[in-house]
Amino acid sequence: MKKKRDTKQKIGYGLMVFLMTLGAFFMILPLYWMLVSSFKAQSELLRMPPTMYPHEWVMSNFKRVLDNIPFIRYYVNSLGTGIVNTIMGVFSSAIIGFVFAKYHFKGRDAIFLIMLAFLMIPYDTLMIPLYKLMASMKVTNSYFVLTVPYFVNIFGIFLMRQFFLDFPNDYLEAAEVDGCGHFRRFLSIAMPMAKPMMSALFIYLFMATYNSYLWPLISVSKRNLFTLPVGIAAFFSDRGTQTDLVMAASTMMIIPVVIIFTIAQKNFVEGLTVGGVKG
Amino acid sequence: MSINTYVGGINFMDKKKKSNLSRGRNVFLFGVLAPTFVWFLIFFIIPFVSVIVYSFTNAHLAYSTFKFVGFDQYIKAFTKDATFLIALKNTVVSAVVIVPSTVVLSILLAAGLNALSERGRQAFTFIYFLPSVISAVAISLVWDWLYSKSFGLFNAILKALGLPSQDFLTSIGQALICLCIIQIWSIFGYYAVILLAAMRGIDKSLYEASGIDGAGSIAKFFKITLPLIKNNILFVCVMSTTVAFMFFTPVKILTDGTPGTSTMVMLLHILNKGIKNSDIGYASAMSIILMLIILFFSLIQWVITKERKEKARHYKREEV
Repeated sequence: MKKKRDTKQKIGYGLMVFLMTLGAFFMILPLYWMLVSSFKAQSELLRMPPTMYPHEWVMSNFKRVLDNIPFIRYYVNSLGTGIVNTIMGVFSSAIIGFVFAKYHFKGRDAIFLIMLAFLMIPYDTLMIPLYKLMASMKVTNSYFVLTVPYFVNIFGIFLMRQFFLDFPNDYLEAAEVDGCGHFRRFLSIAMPMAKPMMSALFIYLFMATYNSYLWPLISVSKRNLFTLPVGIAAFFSDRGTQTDLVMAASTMMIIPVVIIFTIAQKNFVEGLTVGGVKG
Repeated sequence: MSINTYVGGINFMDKKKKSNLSRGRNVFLFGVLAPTFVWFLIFFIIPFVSVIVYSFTNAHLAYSTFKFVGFDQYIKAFTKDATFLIALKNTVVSAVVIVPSTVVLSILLAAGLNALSERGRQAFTFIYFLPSVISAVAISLVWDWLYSKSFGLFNAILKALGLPSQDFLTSIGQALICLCIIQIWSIFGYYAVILLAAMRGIDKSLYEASGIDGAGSIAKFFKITLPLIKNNILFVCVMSTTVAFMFFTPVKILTDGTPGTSTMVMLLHILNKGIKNSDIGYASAMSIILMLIILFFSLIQWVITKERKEKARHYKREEV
């Protein structure tokens, strides 16, 4: 009886592993296809049936992308705004979360509740009035709209507040006795201890801005301000038929992210799912 | 909560020092809260109030003045704008396709990952999680190439199997489903990892006890695992519903609502009206409608998370 169940279980386990491997194949396939397509010449791309790997490896696609669009510029824009926004976002989340966790002031809990209520509003539905406001402030088409709207993140504040609620007061009181000012207490006592939480938030916020598409698409129309997603989407709508170039551009866009993800998989999974464990 | 709250200022300080300290405290609080308030005013409060106000006006991007028109914009959406109704229908259809399939797939995947050994779990998590770190734009572009009618991989496979080739994104009947598949493919691994974390938090002794009672692994899954992560599953449901109602990037890049209006979704229609046609008033009214639909689901989430948090706090208290 026991043996029978064991074989049954083994078969079930084998079947499950088989299905998961099959699924993994379908997960990898589009990314594999992007990669190999970017190394194929246009003539090979349009062959039917398609070749499963490039029979002739062509490197010129990448160079032609760089010749055709200011790819490096897009890259610098994406990376630059991404880093600035993430540093500002993590820092503001930490310090605001710290204040809401460790200080008493009039209306604190009410303000915090209102902020949490904002979290319920799907931000994409505010794009139209935000765009009109930015247009009336004459700041569309500038680095202002690519950075400042990302500087504060309600979810980040919530997360950091939760962290600092459990942060022992003894450290802060000891620092106070030593004559540390309030900002110093935050900067050199509280913040260093929040490092793990902040690095998870860093990855979460960085990926959110780096992959952000809707707002840059609306608020920026000058090509030299395009970020990678907007720039490559625009390139696609101009030259959609040149699949070799589109695939090469996509590959160049994702390769750095994939490499960093491969190295720091654990941190990425932690960082990105931090958004999924609200409450 | 209040025991844990840091109040600044310590009793044994003399009075003068204390008032200095409290000034430092106020400067610090002001320095943090004032910029925060300004940011919220510009990027949350004003847009939120204006989307409500604009929805009752004929506001236009190019003019600074506007007239109140009551509920005209809302009435227009439901009676005069056929595209709005199509967009609403398409959005609901995508949600109906996307939400159940992502949720079921993510539960199955999480259960699968949970049953694997440490190494296997890591390898599979890497593969299934990969799309979550990749830009939706790049994902859309490669899927467009896979779906290509004459040279795409999918049609090549169909041909090799002796099946007729399909139009995919250029077919009125198939385009929306094809776009939904991109969305499902790119997101279910992410939800699976969230559920996996919940499953791994389940006390192992529960399984051992039921194993002695003779429960098989499928029975254990339905009787122990699912009920214990019920809240997490509901949370994933609501999250994927919100994402589905905000369906945008693949649609905008690959079909832009075509063929015909077969892939026109709410957010795309709102942006077309608001930004392209500069009709802020009408776009705001549609934004409010979309917001209300999503808020309805978010409220469900609010209730669930609240319930779960109370449980967690209770647990903590017992622990300490």
